Amino acid sequence: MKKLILLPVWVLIVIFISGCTPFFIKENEPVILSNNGNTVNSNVHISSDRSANLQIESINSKLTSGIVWDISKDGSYLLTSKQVDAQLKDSILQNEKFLNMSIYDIETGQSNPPVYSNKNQVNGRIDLNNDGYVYLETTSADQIPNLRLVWSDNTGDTTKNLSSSNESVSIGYSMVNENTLVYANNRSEITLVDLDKAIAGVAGANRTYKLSKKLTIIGVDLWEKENMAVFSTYDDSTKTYDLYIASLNKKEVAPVLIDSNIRYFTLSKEQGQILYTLAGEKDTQRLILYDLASSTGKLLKEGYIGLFSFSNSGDKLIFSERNDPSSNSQNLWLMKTDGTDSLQLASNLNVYGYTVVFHPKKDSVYFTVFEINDANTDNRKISYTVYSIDYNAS
Amino acid sequence: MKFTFRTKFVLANMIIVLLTMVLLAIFVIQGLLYYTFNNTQNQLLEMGTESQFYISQEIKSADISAGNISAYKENALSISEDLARINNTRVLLFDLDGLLVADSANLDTNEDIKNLEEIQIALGLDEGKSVSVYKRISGSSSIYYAMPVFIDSEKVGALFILQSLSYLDDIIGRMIFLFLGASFIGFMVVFIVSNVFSNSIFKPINQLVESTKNLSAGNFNELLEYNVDDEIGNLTTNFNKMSLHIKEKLNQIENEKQKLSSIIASIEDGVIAMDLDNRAFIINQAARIILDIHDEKAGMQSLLDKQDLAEMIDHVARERTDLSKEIDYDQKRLHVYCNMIRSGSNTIGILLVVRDITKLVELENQQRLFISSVSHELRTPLTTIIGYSDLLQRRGTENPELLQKSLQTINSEGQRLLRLVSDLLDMSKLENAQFSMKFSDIDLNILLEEVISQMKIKSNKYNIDILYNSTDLPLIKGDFDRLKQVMINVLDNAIKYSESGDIIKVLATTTENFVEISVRDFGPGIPPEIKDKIFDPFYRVDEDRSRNHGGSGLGLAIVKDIVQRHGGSVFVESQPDEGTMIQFNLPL
Repeated sequence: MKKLILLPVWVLIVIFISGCTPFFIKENEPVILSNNGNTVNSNVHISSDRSANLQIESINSKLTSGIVWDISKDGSYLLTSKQVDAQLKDSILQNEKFLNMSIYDIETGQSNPPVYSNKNQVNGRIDLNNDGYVYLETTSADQIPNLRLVWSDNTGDTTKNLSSSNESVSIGYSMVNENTLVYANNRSEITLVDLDKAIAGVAGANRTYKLSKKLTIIGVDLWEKENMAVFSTYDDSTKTYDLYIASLNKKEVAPVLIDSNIRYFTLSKEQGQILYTLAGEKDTQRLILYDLASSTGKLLKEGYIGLFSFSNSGDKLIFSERNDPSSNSQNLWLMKTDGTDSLQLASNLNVYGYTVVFHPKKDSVYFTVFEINDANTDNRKISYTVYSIDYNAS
Repeated sequence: MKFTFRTKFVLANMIIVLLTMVLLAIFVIQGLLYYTFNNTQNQLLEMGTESQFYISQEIKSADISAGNISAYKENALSISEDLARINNTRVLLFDLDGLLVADSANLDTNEDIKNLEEIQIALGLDEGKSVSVYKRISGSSSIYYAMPVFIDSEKVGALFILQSLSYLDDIIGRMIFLFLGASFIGFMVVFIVSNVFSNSIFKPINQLVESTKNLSAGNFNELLEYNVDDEIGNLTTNFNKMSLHIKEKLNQIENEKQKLSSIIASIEDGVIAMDLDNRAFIINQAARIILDIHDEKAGMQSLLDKQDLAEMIDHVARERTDLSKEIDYDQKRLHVYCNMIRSGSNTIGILLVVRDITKLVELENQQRLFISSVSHELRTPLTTIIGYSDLLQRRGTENPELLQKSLQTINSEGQRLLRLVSDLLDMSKLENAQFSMKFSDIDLNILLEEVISQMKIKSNKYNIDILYNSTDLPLIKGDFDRLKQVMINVLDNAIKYSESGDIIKVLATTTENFVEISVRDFGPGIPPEIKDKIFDPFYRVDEDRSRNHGGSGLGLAIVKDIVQRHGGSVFVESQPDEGTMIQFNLPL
């Protein structure tokens, strides 16, 4: 009996003396690790596909200041929004800035100084045909910011309103082709704009299609081949974003739901495919590639997906991945649209927005990185810088 | 301190709880340590890969006109701060010589961070490899992670990340505290519950204990009642069966023992069984009587003191063979058989079987004497007959007087011989129980008168008178002829030992249970020392007188035998020179 009592006492003593020393971990013994890509949470964090090679040839972290929106078809210049200080007459707030469009010449590295506007000019698209660009301009009416679609020449001297003053344009519009753009408004209408005519002021520049169903359209694009409008909507009752498709061949446009609870989408006109993100588990997003012809979706990646864009040819895509859902810091990845050959382009950058611009003629991408200066929340300032990465993916 | 089974039960439960909690704690803590360590290590690996990419990215976006290594060194501080912010950990950057070029933190540590073995190891690794070391410094756990930094396959330095695992130490400390608390609570619960349950568990066991006490005290009638179908129930059932079985077996043993005791007690021979220490474990009553053993211990000692017995026992023990012998023991003649008592191949004791052959010896002696007497009695008249026959043959009929006398003598001796042979035959029949008695109601008055009348004829020849007095005698059960023979023999004996002119008194009376018949003569009497011998066969007080009267010496022996067969008794009273009275009683 004594032994029976003493045994656990000794066990306890041994345990306490050992101080819960790890039995299976060797102390002070170096262990060589090999990065085989088998990291934890690989279902959340993306890992490089080791079968493919990517060489970063150069990175320019200070290409120009501002937010990049588009690149010219010849790849010679970028359309950006630069932060300009509000003129005193336009703001009582000290150090308030407005985003005004600007052209950045890649070859010279010079930016045209933006034409001052006391309105924020965002989401620009280059109109190469007409040496101009289109952008959204915020107008504040009744304290609710409205957006207006505006065309400007590259110098900023001439501007034209493409949307009417009684409509608020949705933030997401798109260039269908070199002469046509599509936008939606707050009246559940999708409008196609003939730029030449619009700029020339010719009547009939706009063709408007009314949805058969009242929907708050957030972003719209057009699959020109099939004359199908793809658009995202916001459902106020469910507080979710939905993705629809609708044929514009009929007068009354009946939207067909593709998916619900999406975040953003982008359309590859060349491939007839949509990229969009869907809310996944544990705050992750699922990057879905949807083929419009076959009406089938494919899960490409799941993680803390940020922005994503098709390459110009539509066979590749670029997307960003946050290190954690609350982080602004993101990694940029290049991938084929079939979900293979994931290659990391950038690491831990505060990538801004939803756009990464592919150079039309070489393996270069341009994107915006923001920086928050001054930890003091009252004086927090955000600055934007355009990054460029030249890579070689074999 | 005595530990009862109940105490052991409770203690055992508490120890089980303790060991379980300890094992659980060890398992959980070690598992947590291992899992967290591996997880952290993998995270560091991922962090390292990311950091490698980031450094490469930052260097490429910087001015690299002076080379990657130079750009690395120039931007090391900002890079380390960025990495520290990104990874939320301390990041150090080293050059190719292992010298510290940037530290994201500015802390004093106990360890010489600037000269770490891990850095040297990392600088020797190829791209894609890294080194990790688990360390405990000042009671705090950390992982030291280092990897070489490559920019476009050019090694520029090494990255070092110090990942603290102090949170893990805190968690483990709290877990130990929780386990201790849980163990304590567990102890209390187990203690209370065990005590409560042990009452119901041990109740039947306690009953079993009591029953076994009773069982050991010899009470096999007590049966336990426990009707639950569990192990205790099975034990109780088996205990009851065992108890009944033991009782049955004990009864059987007791019966066998009693049978054996009865058998041994029934043996007329004395049986003594001794162990190898000469202690008797069986002595039957016959042995006690034969050997006169009253106190067992003293008796056995006196037994062993007898040289003959001691020699026998010693011989048997030594020679390992049985032995039979006749010995003299306290004026008795005994036939002793001695042998070893074996149980299987083992000798467990000595067996003595004792038979009192004193009477047998006496009988044999009597037989020898009888045969001698008979031979003598037969030879005497035969000698006379043969003698006179020879005489006649020699001298024939020359002398008629001699012839007459010889023939007369031959005739009388022949008659005598015939009487002797008849008496012998009677004796033989009596002894062999061939002498059949025909019992019927007998009127003793008639019998006595008849006999006395008949004997008066003989007595008158010798001028002896027979006087007969009796009361009115009842009928008795008896053999008329044999009783007549009794009277004849007694009267004949009285006549034989009376002188001329004497009287013989015959008296017959009735008592409560007997008829008493006595015959008194006034002859020479019998000396006291030989008085009781007159009923022995062939015993004659006066040989000459008896022979002269034609006696065979068997008469009174026959009388005694017949009277005893009638359930009666015979005895004699006599005084020298005063005569003899022979009385026999016959039961009513």
